[in-house]
Amino acid sequence: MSSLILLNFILTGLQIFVLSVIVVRLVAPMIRAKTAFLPFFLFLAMVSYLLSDLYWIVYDTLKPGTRMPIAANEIAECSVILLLSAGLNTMLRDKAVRMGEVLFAALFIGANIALWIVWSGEWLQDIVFGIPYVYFVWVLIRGLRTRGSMTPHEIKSAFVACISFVVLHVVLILVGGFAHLFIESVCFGLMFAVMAWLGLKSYQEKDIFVASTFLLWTNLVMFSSYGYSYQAAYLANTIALLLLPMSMKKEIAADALC
Amino acid sequence: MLYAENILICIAVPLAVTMLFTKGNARRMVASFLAGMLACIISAYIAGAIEALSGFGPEDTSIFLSPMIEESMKLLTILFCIYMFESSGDKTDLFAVGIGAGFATFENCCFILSSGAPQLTNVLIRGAAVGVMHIVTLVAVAKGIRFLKRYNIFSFAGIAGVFSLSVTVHGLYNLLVSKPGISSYIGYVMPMACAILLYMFTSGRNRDNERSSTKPSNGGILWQKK
Repeated sequence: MSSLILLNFILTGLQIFVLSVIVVRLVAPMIRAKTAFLPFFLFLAMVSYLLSDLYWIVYDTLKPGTRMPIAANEIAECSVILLLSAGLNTMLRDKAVRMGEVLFAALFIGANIALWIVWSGEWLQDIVFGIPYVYFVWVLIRGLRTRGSMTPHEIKSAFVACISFVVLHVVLILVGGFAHLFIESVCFGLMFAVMAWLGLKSYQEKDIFVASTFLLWTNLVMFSSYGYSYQAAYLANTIALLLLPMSMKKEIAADALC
Repeated sequence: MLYAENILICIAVPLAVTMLFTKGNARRMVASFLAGMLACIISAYIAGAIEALSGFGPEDTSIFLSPMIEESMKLLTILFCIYMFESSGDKTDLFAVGIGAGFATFENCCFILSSGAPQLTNVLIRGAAVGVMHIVTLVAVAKGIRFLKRYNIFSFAGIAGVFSLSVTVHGLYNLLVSKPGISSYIGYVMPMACAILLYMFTSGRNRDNERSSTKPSNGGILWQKK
């Protein structure tokens, strides 16, 4: 077993452990009817995530080295995105549909789907399971802007980072040799810098929209990485999952004060 | 060769007649049981057609396609019941149990008629694992839908999210039992464990609701109070 596969198994095991703890700890606030709404959505989303990890690990153990014709664990990931979107959508103060936001969400995720198709060749799967991300991104943008979770300057920076992410990946497909290596370093530097910034901001602010944005970004980085950088993004993804219930607690506490 | 539609007619006709002499919840239960059996045969036809068209083997169909098709059919049936009869609360649960039981019963009937029932162990596994699985996933979906309706977030994203969760549970079960050995034992235990957990959770919630006896607030939705 190579060190990378071993690391992958360890990190998946860690994520399963973290998710199990989160799921168990969400049961108590969920049973208490007064604070049931947000914990319920988070509970379902975390159970989906847990099932996705379990499915992956069972599949890899029972059928090693074979590719899934339809990635059933992606259905669970799709479930996470849909449930989080549905939950966050109810928390929006202003649900006005701004064309610019919808267009950005569609174009950004559309470009990502195109990249996933280039990398994996699973066009139907990538399109079907990519569509919920458009809604998720729109909900996040709306929430970040209307709740003041991010300053306009930070939102602009995130917008530039998203565009750069797509452009750099497109250029990576087109160029080879030294240019490829150089652009790859820049691209990975950007992805991980944004990830670190979002992680830090989520930890400081404990805002559910920022934490969800962090989770989304770690997912996008995971989908576009390989080797050790994938494992690093996976670890960040586990941290993002931990930050979600922490943000939920703050949200519930803020409500209880009113 | 198994004539599934003939088996359906044989089981459905007496049940349909009982509906003439029953009322209220008893009639609802019988109707949803019949709907579950119908959903089962339709999903079998769809799975067969997709298997032939896609070129998937029987194992791949069982692991990857069946969970999606079967859960979709069950979801469509329960959504039909919810919209058609404007059911809410306990009635939704009743429809879910009826559809799930009908689905599982018809599937078990077809399985026993095609493979025979000489070994009690196999029949027990069939009943306690797959049979329970169909009921558990649908009851979980129904509970999810009830919750979404309760908080006025009966949206497409919410329903699709709950549905995807049930597909994953079903898919994981089919994957676990696809290979003999320890994984299959875990798979056989999984539906019953899920049923117990679901029962514990719902009874815990009911107890808590009775204790508080006040109408639950939106809890955590500060923005809706303003």
